[in-house]
Amino acid sequence: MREIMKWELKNLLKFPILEIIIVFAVFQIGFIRIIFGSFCTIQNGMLTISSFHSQIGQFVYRTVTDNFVNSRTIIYLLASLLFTISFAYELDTNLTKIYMSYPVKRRDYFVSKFAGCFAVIFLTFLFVGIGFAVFMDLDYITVTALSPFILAYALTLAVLILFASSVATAIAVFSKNTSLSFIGSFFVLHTFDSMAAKIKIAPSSFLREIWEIFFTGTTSVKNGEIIYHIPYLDALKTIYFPVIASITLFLISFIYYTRYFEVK
Amino acid sequence: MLLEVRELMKFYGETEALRGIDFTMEEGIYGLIGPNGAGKSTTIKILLDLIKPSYGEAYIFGMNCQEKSYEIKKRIGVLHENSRFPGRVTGREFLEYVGKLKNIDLRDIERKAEDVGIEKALDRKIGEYSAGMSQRLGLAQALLGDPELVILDEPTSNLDPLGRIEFLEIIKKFHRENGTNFLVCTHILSELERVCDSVIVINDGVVLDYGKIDKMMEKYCKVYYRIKSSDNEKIVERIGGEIKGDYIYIYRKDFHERLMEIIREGVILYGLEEIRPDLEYLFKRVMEESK
Repeated sequence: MREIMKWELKNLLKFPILEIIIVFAVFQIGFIRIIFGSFCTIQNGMLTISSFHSQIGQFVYRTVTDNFVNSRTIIYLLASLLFTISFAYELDTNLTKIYMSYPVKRRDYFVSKFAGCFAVIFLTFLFVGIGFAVFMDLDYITVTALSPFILAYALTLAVLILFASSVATAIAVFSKNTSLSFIGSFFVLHTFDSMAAKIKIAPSSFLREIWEIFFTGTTSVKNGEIIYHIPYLDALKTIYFPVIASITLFLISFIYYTRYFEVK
Repeated sequence: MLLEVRELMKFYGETEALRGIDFTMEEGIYGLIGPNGAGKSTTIKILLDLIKPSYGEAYIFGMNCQEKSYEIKKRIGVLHENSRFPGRVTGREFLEYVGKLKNIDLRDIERKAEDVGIEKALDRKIGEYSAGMSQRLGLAQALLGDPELVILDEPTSNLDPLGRIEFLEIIKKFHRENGTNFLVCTHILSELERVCDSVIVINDGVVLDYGKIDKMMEKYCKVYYRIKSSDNEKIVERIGGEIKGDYIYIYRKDFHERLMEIIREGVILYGLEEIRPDLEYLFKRVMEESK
């Protein structure tokens, strides 16, 4: 399984994903930096945003979330593209037939592909996000590994990509067609996102809830320092529904691929 | 017995791709021959557990192909029809990946690349390979780890005539030197004759007959003779046979003494030729007999 995963990553990274994301990130970050540069460099030393300095805090909070909301489109695009390449395109070009003729277990093959694509999208966007925070000098949020910003960002990213990956995998595996898989995945993800804002599994709904929970947490003062309390339980309750939906979709695709899928 | 197929059937909706395939394969080079759409590739896909049979069973090395496919695939090599290998990686990277999956000594990559003649192209991206080189790479990956059985599906279909001859020579060499067994699935029969010692004739989803080529020839085709003379009618009258154009075709062997008598009577013999039927003729005869 390790070898299949390494091969998947090697193949996926040969695709210009990083270049696409860097161009996108540079454009977004650069644009915001030029327009709102004076706000971004303010050193307020605060841990929370909305409780203190509400005007600047609200603005930066919105900038961060809005950027994340905008980047959802490119996450959907990438998920549709990578899962289409990994499942449907390989089937169309007979590569699946070749790979499955080697001593490879179907479950390992499926899981490696899924995990490979997921890891590429997640890690790329995680680093882009952290880079964004550092570049924007968001030091009032204190960008450390366990800071609320990083945790909230990593959690929302993981849930969002898991959701997008499950949808894209299911469409790729069942459609078995490159064009249908790519267009279908992107269309379903984008439509679902924009049309179903009131449904709990819709990314536009649960993402904002997670961000709200992380950034409107309570604070207390101890020895003159402000301590931020993250309401983890509330955050878990928010992701419960989309995660269950993603796992269900994943399992349906997994069972179909390992038991009934025919490589024609 | 290397391979055994029992009453294999495959339906796609109402279409019957296989209608009960039965054959066995011993050691050697076997040709699975039949026209396009006969069911050759479907049979191979079932052997590799890429698709499930609707009915029947297939065994390789005595193991059920559906239940023990992982164990079977460790001991076989495969080259599929129209294989397109990943273009963004080099030949070496691809063969190393296959080698790791097959858990073999990676030094074998160099040897196999040399055997099939792509050693100089190993560090080039596969996307830059010609059709012939890509097919050789396909053969190299199938031969990695010296498998006991290699299944080749239409291996020469996109090669030029010289490439086809060289490709078949490699197959012969591996069988001769390493004892590798091959199941070559093709519809280009003239080439198969150069390498195969046995054939399985398949048409319309059923096996019509299978066995050693010489025995099949004895069963279905007889050696015949083609004669051209100054008096064809006289020869046919005395010996038999049939006239087609300028020639007489005789389908028996015991005519030589009587032919000498006719020559002594003054008939001039311009030519006498022994015609041995080829695989194409055998295939045609098997098809005719099955109707």
